[in-house]
Amino acid sequence: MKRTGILIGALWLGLCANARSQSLSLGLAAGGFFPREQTYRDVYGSSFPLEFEVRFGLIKNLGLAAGVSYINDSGQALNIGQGQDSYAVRFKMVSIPLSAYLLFPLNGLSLFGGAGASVHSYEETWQTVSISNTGNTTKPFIYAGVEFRVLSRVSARLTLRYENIDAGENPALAREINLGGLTLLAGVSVRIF
Amino acid sequence: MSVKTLKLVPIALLAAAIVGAFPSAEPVHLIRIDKGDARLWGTLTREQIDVVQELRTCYLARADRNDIAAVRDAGASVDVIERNIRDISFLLLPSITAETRASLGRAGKLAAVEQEISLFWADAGDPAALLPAGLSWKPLPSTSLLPFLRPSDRPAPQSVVGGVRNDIVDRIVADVSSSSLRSLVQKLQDFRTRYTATPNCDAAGQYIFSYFVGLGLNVRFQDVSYGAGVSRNVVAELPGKVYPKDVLIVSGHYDSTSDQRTSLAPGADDNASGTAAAMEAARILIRYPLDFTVRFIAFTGEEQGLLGSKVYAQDVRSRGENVIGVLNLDMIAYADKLPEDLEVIANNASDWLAAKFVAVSGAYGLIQANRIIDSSAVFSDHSPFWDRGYSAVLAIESVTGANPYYHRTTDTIDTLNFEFYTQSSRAALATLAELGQPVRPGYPATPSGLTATSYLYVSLFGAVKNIELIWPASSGAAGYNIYRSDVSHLNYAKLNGSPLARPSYTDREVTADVSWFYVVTAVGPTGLESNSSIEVHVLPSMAESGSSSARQLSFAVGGMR
Repeated sequence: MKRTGILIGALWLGLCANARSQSLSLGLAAGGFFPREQTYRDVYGSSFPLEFEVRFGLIKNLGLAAGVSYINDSGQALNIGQGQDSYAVRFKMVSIPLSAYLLFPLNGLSLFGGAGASVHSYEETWQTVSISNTGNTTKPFIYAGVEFRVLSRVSARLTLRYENIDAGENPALAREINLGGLTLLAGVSVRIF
Repeated sequence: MSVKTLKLVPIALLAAAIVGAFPSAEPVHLIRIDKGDARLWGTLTREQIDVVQELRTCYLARADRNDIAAVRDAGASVDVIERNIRDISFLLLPSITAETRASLGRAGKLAAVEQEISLFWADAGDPAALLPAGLSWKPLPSTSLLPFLRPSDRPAPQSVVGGVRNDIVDRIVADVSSSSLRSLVQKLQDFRTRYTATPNCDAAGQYIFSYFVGLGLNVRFQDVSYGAGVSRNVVAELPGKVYPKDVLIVSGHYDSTSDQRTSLAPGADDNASGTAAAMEAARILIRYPLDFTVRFIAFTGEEQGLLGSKVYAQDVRSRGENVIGVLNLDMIAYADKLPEDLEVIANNASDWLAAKFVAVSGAYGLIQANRIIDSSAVFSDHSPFWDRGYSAVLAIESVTGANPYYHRTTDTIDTLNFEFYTQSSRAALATLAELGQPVRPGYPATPSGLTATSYLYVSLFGAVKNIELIWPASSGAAGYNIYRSDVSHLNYAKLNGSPLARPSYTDREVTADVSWFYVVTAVGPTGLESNSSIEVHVLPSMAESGSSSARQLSFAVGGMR
């Protein structure tokens, strides 16, 4: 898994180095994550990821993007039955998405869509019981969005991303847990050059 | 197109509709499903596959093409043994000689389903009639065993912590008499043959019945059909003082066979030995009241495909009886050398009972008992209990140096080794007494009515359970101790420091995806500790198959010991 991440990173950097860079943008976004996993929704509800992104415009419509995304949620373990106790739990996930995208200018707006892979590192901890589960995985994702220029170097962006993240089995549930879902991000990006 | 032809169109359409509304029954095939993947069980349960036999490496099942496709889609390896089997009877056979194999191959159809296990059937008629005399066999069940097979409920003990010897069990063990065993085997042998449904077999059954009656036990016959006749199981019961509805069984089949089966089949080792050991157990235990009910059963028809035990196991299952465990004694008196080992054979779900047997035999210094897990060892009276979801073991003399007089007219008392036989009988009785728990005068009453309620808490990757245990207060109790184990009836560890003042306890934050077993004891004012309550079994928490929501989790608490 780690090797896959390194390979993707190397490929991405290689493309950047060999391309005649036309633009470089930095972006910051926040929004909502709508998990496909029912257990996630029950325990943590929807969550609010933060994401920092670097984008290289390589040629006219093609670019590469990299970033860091962070989720930090707290919730209560599901109470199955009529138990009187409650257990606080916390979930953190750091993701490093690497992707290629296409940009389509359209009447002052730009539509974009892309695909790539994210390296995810996650940890779930029970606050009062000695239970902690960690994991790493690399999974593909797709996204699309719209961008419009607010100032000469500043743009506002709206991005919708879908991920499918099989993350192993919960033995008590006897089935696989999926950390994927839809992420809707709103943010700004600043073009450096 | 003529008018006449046009008139035929609606008739043809009507006929097609009728055929469509009543499709012909899908052919059912006998298949072999390789056990392989541990997740196979979930597939079999979800698809409601008619599993009719569990063996060491595979399941045998009745399945139509949709079932087969579903099991294959789940990644399991499936072989079709025979197609369209609706009216075919199949027999399971143990390892057979090349000569027998050739002979059976000519008489019917033979298929190896795994190493040393074959299936035999004929296109028409009863395949049992085609078997050579003296061959062990088991009819393949014709109905699904799926509701009763629960392979993961009772995990295998990785190790067994040595138990404490009970002074009353010590006395019980010492009471086993070699001369008494000899006398009983001689009496059974003196019937000359006990071949099922012969007058001599009936007389032997009557003798066993009278013996139990003479001890003061509750005894009944149970009719077992055999061909046009009837033979009879003999069932004697010693009611438990605390748990009369929770039953332990010690059994041996009293029928015999040989190549002169209707005139001379002494069956001293097979199986006057097991029957006499059960009778001797009754003679001794009648003097030692137990917490749990014990049944002493002499089965008939074992040599005809486990007829008696099949009828009995079906009967107790249909009545919903809680049979805690079955010790089936079959050939426990022959030894080609000393010291000789006793094999204790279990399926996965009965592993705890084999481990208990071995541990008790070791703790009381009785005999080297070897625990063997082999779901393919289905050729004695424990097997129908496995088929009905009960824990059962077969105690049998070592297969190394097998009895050369097996199923012969020479299987007589003079070939038995009474030193070995007495020790193997003692080991079985000690196990029975340890599980049944002799009542100890002057000690606090054994707690009864222990119940467990499980509360499950689940996150994405973790889960814990809080298990609430409640029981009625015991007379003479100043406090209580709670014991827990992750294997049934073994390796209990005390959870509380000083005795609990109240008859309740919550075991917090235990691992959710494994079985837990609990017992409670009462502690008297002077520190004397009672026998253990019935064991409650808290099942692992598993999602229902195909569940997509944590809210669909099932969690269950078993009250079975």
